[in-house]
Amino acid sequence: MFYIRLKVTFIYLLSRVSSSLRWDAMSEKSVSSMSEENVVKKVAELMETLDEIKKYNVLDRYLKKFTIIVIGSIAICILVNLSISFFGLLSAFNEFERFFLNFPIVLIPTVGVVVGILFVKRKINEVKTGEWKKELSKGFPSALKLLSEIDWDTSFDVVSSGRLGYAMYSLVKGAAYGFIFFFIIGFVLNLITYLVLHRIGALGYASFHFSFLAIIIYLKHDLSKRFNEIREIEKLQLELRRLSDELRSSEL
Amino acid sequence: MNSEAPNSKPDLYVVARIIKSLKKKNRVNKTALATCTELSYDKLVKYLDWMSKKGFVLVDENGLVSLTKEGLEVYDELVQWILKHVGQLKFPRLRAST
Repeated sequence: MFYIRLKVTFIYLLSRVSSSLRWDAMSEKSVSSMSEENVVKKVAELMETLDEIKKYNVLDRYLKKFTIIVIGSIAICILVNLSISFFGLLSAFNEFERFFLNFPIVLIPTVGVVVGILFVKRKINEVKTGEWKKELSKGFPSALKLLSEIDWDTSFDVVSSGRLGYAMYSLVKGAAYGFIFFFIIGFVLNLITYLVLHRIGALGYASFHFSFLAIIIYLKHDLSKRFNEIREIEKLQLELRRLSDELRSSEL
Repeated sequence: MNSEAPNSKPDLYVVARIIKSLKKKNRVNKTALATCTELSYDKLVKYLDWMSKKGFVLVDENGLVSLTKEGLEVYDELVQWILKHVGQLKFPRLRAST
């Protein structure tokens, strides 16, 4: 559609050439080549941004698998913990020893988060980007070709779907971090109370409160960063829609 | 977009490539032009016929092709038209973080 409009515009431009202009050939030539460079630069920026948005979309596409890996590891951790208590596997040890022997199970959700993040990173790295660079290196005509070949509707879908997944990814990761923080802070606090008071569990739910606070701070920072990016993507989507509409409707 | 039939629907990309090549080389024979535009000779000839009818190029009796002032103007106007629309875009600095 865009291409047809471009052709209409081109034909229109052809009709305008009859009105001859007096111009200085040299200066006009340099202005023209600068404009061509600007078009190529802008199209490169557009293509790079669309490439980057594809990566956001990967987060959305693999969010379910990431969630399964992370939540699954947390579930396994809880099950292992319950099993140890239920079967009394550490009953031969005193309270203090049991607590510290129990601690390594935090490695299960930690490994889960690391595996989940590495899985998503690998998928992001698999996104093919920059395939347009070779074409664009040929200059303005190639920029024209790339612009004409952009599937705007698909691009808008990609932009829309990537946003929610990006925020949800942060929440899932935040929940897993919260769980891990809870264990680690609990371990540190109990170690301190044991060293100072020779008791464990003296601070009650302090580890829960501290881990909750830590995760609120983390999520505030991470989510605000992500929402800022999402806002930028929304603005870009509006701009792309405007560009698409202008190019489609422009009859000049 | 049928780039094989320039008489009815010229491929703008091909036209732009031809003009750009002519801008660089001024006067060039068709074979060399076909090579530098990566077009088949037959296809190039079809486009040159169409473009000379529109007054964008001149093909002399020796088969040398040159760009006319009109062809150059149209190309520049096309560049400006595209720049006007694409140049308004502001791209955010995005980096998907995991």
